[in-house]
Amino acid sequence: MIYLIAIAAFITAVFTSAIQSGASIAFAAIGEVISERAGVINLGLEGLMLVGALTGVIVQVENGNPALALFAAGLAAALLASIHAFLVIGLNSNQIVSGIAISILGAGVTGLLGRGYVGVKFDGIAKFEIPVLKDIPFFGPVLFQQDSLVYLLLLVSLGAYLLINRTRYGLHLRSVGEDPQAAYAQSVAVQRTRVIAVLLGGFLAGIGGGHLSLAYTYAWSERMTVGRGIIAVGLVIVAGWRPLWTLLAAFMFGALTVLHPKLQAAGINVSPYLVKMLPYLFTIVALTLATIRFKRSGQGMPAALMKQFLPGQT
Amino acid sequence: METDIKARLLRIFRGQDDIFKVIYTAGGATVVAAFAAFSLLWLLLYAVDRNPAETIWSILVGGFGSALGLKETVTRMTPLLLCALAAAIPAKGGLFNIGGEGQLHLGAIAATSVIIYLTWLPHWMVIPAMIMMAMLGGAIWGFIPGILRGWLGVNEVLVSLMLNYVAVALVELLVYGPWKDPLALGWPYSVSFPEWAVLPTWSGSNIHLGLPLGIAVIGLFYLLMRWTTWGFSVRVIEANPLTATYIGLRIKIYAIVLLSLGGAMAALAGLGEVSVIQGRLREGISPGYGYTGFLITWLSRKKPIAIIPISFLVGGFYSGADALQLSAGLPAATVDIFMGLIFLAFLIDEYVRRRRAVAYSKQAIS
Repeated sequence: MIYLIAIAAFITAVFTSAIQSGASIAFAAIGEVISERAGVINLGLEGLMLVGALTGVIVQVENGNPALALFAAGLAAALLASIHAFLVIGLNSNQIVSGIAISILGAGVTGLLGRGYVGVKFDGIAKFEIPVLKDIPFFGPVLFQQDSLVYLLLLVSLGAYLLINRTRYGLHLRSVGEDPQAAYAQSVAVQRTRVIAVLLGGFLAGIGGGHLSLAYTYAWSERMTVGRGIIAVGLVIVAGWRPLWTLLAAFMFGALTVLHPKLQAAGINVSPYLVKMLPYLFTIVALTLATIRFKRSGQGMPAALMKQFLPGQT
Repeated sequence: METDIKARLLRIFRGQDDIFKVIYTAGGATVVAAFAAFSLLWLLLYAVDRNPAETIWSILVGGFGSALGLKETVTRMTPLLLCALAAAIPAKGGLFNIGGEGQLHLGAIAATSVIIYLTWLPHWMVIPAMIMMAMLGGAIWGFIPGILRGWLGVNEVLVSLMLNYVAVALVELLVYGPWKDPLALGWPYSVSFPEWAVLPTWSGSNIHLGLPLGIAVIGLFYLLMRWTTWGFSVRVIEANPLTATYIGLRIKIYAIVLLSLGGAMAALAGLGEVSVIQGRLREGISPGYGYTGFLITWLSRKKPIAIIPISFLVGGFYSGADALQLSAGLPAATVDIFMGLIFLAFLIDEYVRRRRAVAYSKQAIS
């Protein structure tokens, strides 16, 4: 009996922290879904998340309003994403190369500007417990004792789903992601649609970074994302470019990142460095499986992803 | 007369004029773009309360201004050159290898495994064995994205990126665990490399065997690409994979071979770091050489020969920033910013060149 209670507590703890930890990746990944459905891959997510995380911390420390801090985080990342948009949409540069440059730039800028904020303490975004529901066993802690951003995340993922599948802009978005020439012939503003998608993706990546520093680690440190941005890009493929599945994939990833402290708390000893590799290995395996599956079904990836677009030229 | 001037101005503006053609092809647009990058760096340094002119100047002086600085620059150039090669070889076949960082770490691990496990080797065999093992280790790390790409079509960009983090964690696992030197006073270091396991260096500096090795590979690779059927096949694959498939080239095999070869190159950089620079395996042996190497490859426009001068320049920036860091506490982040900005400037320059090529071809038609 005592074992059953311990196991139940362990599972609850893992699920709860999985959602907390996966949320920042989920924000970024959903943003990336929007951007990739428009045909633009953004490998700069790592840098965008860092910029978001640092901006969030700076505004939080200087101003103290978490909502403003989060919004500023999104805006700052969108600003950096606009460079990517300019290069790959305006100048038709290679999307992968531009993304890596954005990543490195973001890491460098935050490293330089964030020196004064390492180790600075701040309140951040508090937990938001829903009164009665929080006492339900298992579902209470997992779903109703999270920080307010997790609830926002659910709205965002649903919103992204509706935006892509149920709006006029979403139709344009999908059409420029599949066949920009055809969309152009139908007088869809291809470039404008793509720019909006990339900026939206950047904004969400910034929110993800902001969540990481303001609601998860409650501190800024250099390169604190440690590959979360890259994993977010991978999870988009794993989830087949669908926002709601992306959410699920991100939570699964979150479970892997929190496994180690929880295992240790439960008295099971594994090397922390071995567990540290797990999320990346998991993403590689999931990526491989997803690629095989999509190859068989012949669908999934937006057909014009990473392709250049010149109006009127095929 | 007036229309003459107007037409001339128009030609100049479009980059079709003779004078400007000369300046442009000499890289005029690159200079302008680089200048823009410098201005941005200037602003950023200003933002963190530093005298921009002084900082940039002392970085340049630190990197290129003295014999000592130049030696350090060439030392820093070596891993950059090798990591650039790691990206350049697969790039010849149209593949992206951004796993240089991980392959470097794997090379370091494999080289260290020789001095830990193969202690019975005669001393003269240790260095050849380390080189072989390191290349094998890096090749395995390149083989994984290679086979996933070739065999199943998995995106090699993401796999190679992901493996970077795995490799870094692997190094941590080893130096905190089984390979930790009990004599290192609790520090997470492996045992030191004995003197017969240190790569030969140029007198009085840390410039080691890796540099001539890397340059030799560049030469060899150039010849391979230029004069052999194999090289021609790779060029066909890059130009048009579909054509390559039709004429019966096995793209899969080429993907695997190219990425493995690239991995082996980055591994040599790791070998140099642990054997010469650090003298042992430890965390943080690379300040992002793998990523910078990838950018250098693109800055060299995938021409292996051009990697040599560009990695020299970037190495100078690294060593200059390093010298500054000792005296003024400036983080290595400046190098990242500089690389990122230079690179964005480069992409703009690429665009200008493409546009001009289009303009010329239109002119030729009309």
